[in-house]
Amino acid sequence: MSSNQKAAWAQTLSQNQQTVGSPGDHGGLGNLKPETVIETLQQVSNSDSVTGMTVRIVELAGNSNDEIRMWAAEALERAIQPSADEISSLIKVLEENEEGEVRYWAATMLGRLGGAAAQAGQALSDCLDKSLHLPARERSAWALCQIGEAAAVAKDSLSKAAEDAPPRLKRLATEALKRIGEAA
Amino acid sequence: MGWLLGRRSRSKRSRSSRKNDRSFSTSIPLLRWLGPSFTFSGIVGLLFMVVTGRIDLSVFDQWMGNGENPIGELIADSGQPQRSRIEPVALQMDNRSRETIRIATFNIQFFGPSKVSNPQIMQSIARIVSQFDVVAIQEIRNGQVSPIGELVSLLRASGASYSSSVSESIGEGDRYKEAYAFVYDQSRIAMIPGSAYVVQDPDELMSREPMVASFETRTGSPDGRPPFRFTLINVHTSPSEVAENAIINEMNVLDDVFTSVRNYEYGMTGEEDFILLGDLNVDTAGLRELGQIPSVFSIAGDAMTNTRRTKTYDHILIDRNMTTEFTGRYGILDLQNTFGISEEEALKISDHFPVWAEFTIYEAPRLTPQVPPIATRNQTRDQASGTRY
Repeated sequence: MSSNQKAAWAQTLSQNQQTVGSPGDHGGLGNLKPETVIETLQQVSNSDSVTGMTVRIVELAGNSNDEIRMWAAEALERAIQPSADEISSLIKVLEENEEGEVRYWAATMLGRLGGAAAQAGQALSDCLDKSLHLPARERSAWALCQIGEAAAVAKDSLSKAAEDAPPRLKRLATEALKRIGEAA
Repeated sequence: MGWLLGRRSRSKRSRSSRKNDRSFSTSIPLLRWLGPSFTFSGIVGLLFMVVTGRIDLSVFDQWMGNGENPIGELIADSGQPQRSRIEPVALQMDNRSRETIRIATFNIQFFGPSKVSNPQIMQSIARIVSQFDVVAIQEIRNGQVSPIGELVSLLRASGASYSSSVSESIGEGDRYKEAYAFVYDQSRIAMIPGSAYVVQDPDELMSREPMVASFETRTGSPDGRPPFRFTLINVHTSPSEVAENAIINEMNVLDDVFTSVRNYEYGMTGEEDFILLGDLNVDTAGLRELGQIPSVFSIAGDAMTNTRRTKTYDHILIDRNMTTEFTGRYGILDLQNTFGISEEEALKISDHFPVWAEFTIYEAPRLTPQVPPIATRNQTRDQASGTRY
């Protein structure tokens, strides 16, 4: 991927976009045509590694258009590599965007950064506690596990989930507690 | 760790199968037209579908036409299982061997309304599927229109006699669910009635539980030689759950799925041949415990299976001691070369290539005791989590 290509994608996807995390906006398109966004997301998802576009694509994962949402998820799953300078924006999305899938992907991206995303511990803990979207809660527990010792702030939330949650979440929370405990 | 995999949700599946069969047969009056009872409603149905664009008559030209082999030359042929080297061999679309069948896996990326509404893509998918006797399909997005129903309809419109079994939609959350399917040529393969089910997973160890179904060849053999009977386990793992940092790596779950299904089916029916196939999202090094089941191996190994030819995602795994019906021939169907199209156009069909393997139509005589091997692998320590399974 050339830097020109990346810049073109970023420009396409961010054209007249709404403010990050603004109420009621789940990856709003502004005046962008959906097909343009889909085509760009397809190109991104077919690339090996794309950096610097994480937050915008996380937002698009909450778009009301099924196809945009699916291709955003594909891009996040296959191609997007979050970077440390995106952490505070991802935390903001996690805290302010109530859309379950947006939170799911924000947590996933923070988890991919591992210990570098230590400052996300509280936001992930809150998502684990309060989100109504089970996959988002599961990914928060997974992300806390990836962060490890520095996620000690989430111990109470994790303990609660480890005691009383659906099987997968319970297992993830238990494993996160182990990692935090082992590292401490 | 608790395990209840391998139990059938048979009643649910059979209801679902009946529902699929019913909805398919009643929504395609064209079938009547093709049958011996040439009825008025069949003609009306055909005209309606032509007028509304559901059938593109030009497809008949391609199917009936010039006898060219549309699949081209990039099919691997190897007498040496486990080798990743791909040798070209041509497949004959209208000249399948009577002595062998081809089983394939094909992840049709986002196979939903968008692709169904594109005749060119649907025709390409139909041409691909028609190369094989059974295809395990992943990433089906069921909506108001059934993509598999449309695909089978298109195949049947060509004069082929394919049928299908489709799972319910499976997966995390409400929006990312997808279904599995088996599409098979009824003239050469029979699905064992009531054999299709989705593996139950009460401990939620997998994000998408595999779909299982059993088949046997139609040999028409006058000498009574038994047909090749086999069970397919159709899998699509989640990339996140097979990554290095997965808490519970799904590859360390699939070995238990394989052995549970094998033990269950063997106990119930005496079935001996199990083929696990699908988009596993890993190369052979990433197979972990699945790759450690004694004598189980990936037929295509580390051949590149994504359309960009940069990654190994898709596999067909068999037990080399049990499934001796495997002829040693297998391949990766290169969409670009098959259709003479660009990578960008191939990606519109899918980001995966189909992977196939060839088997004899007759059950091979057993040289080993008639008991399937029990996995006796040592417990291994998961690299990422340190958890024993």
